[in-house]
Amino acid sequence: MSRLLRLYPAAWRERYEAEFIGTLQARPVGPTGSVDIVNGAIDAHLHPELIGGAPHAWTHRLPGLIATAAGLIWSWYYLRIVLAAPEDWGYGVFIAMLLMLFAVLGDYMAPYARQIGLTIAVLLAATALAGIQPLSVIGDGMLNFALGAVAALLLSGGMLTLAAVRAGIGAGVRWLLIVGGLLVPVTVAIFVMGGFGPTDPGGAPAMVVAILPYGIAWAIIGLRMTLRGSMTIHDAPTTEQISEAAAA
Amino acid sequence: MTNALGELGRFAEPALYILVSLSDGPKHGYAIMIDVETISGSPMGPGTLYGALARLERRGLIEALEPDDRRRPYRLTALGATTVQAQLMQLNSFVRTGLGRLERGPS
Repeated sequence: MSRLLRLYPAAWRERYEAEFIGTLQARPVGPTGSVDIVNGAIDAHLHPELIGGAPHAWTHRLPGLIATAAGLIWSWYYLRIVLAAPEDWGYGVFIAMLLMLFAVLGDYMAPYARQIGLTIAVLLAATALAGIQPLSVIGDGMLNFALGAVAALLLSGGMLTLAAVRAGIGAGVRWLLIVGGLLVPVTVAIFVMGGFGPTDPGGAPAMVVAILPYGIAWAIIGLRMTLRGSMTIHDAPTTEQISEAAAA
Repeated sequence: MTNALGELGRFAEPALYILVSLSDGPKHGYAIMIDVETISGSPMGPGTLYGALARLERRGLIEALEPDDRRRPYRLTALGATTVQAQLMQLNSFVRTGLGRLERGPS
């Protein structure tokens, strides 16, 4: 049960964790008590001022709300395509991507400038190569497809990583979100289910498998960002972030 | 509800129970939970308990004492005692008014 205390902010745990554990040991709680602890953790994230922190300004929560909205719109957009098969696919995915871009903007990215620059360079190169028609003769267009896929994965993974960094999510969980929200679902959909898209065999369910986890990952990151407040252009990067970026 | 507790939102009622519980001397978290259950007739979850304790401490209505092992006792401050007294007097007045009207019945 005391594992639930990990949901609380670090500053809160430093102040209350020991006595909280003592109370839980004296009186273990059931499911209702567990829900109460989770509620308490959410409350503690929403009110950092209770333990001497600065209250979150709305500007700290806005990127999180935008990221959550992006994740939900993304998920809704693809579910709608699969379930309702509309003639007109609409612009949901573009709106979601625009929101994702807004959610990750900020000079908190400065420590990651080298990685971002490298990613953009590879992304541009892959996009440019994917568009070169003579390459389409190689493997019946497979090279174009592969380059396009690399570009899409870099863009999607890069955006998700930046959002996770902004939400203060550690490297381990970041990788988990990218692997579970992007790499594994897309791989399963392409290589196990035979591709995703209207013309692929079993394309509709494969599209859900491939793309929906990405929207869910964004919604999770967005919620986390909203609850704990996101880094803004006013926040200097922490020593840990700078060391992490330097090590990478 | 006085402003000091009224502004605590959903924590106002648990906070009042905690203040009443500490009225007869310092208690640690577990002892407060047991006492509040006796006073109110329903258990108080640990998340609610520490959410309310943090708010009361922040407002200077209670203060934490030196911990004994993992148990940290809390006690009322002078401001906390004044606040809980005012709160209870207000409730007492409300209860007497309500009971009086019930006794008189519809006019």
